[in-house]
Amino acid sequence: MVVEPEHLEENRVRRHTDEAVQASIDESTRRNLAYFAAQPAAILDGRVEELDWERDIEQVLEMNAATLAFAGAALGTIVNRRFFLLTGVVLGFLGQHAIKGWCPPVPILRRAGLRARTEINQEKFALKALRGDFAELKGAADDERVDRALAAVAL
Amino acid sequence: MFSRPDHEPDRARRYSTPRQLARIDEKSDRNVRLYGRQSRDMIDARIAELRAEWSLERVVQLNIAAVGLGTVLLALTRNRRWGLATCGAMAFLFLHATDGFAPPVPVWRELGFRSRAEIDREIYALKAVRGDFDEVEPIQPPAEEAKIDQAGDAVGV
Repeated sequence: MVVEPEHLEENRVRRHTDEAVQASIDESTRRNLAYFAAQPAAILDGRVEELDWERDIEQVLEMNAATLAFAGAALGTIVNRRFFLLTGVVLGFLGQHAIKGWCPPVPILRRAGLRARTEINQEKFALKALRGDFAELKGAADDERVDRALAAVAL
Repeated sequence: MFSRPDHEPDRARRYSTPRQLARIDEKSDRNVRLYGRQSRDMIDARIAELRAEWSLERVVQLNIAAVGLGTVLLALTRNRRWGLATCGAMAFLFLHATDGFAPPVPVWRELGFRSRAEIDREIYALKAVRGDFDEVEPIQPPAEEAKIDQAGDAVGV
């Protein structure tokens, strides 16, 4: 049995998400699956592509941190040096987020339903499976499975 | 210099040179071929390793936070004008979040850091090889589609 690393990169945001909020995010992914699986193929294909464009929580956190820290640094330079402290605090949290996966805006953004890239990819690959992208692997000889798997996830 | 396809959803891939992209993709495919032919335990171990891999996003966040903290410290202790350098770093962080570019991105890409989407692609290829999707029955196209086709045929489109 494989021991899972303690600090799974893909789990860093999920680890710090309130259980009820996490459940509702997973539930909405499952609802999306049920909805899009029942649609015609073209709409399902569109959804698979659309998911690649969905804005993930990291992007929003970066925009938020950049805006606040920029304001602090600009005001610190022009108005009063004390504004530099705002920049310092925001960037301290950004660094902490990079390492631990938590900073103050995370609970708010999670409650707003923002997903991590890994969660978006769960929906994407589940839809690909429902679409039959992995159907070729069934019953394939061992040495063919790898090539067919690569073909199924091709860029 | 960059491949910059207009329709690239992955911000990390927008600002990578074609050579970097080829190297990263080839390495990923090679790893799937290598680990996909191993025992189940080896595949499990590789998937766990991939799940823990540091993505480009994380490295860039840490990188820009460090630059910003360094310059803001200089602004507080040496010269306020260092604050302008902090502003510059934050502008690049914003640009990275929206468009994908920041000066360190091509450097980290050269070192082989991948986006979460690229890492997940390798994870799902290995999951497929492992048989995670073998139980999934592909959905049948809804009956309505056949009717729409019939209707289309009837009007000659």
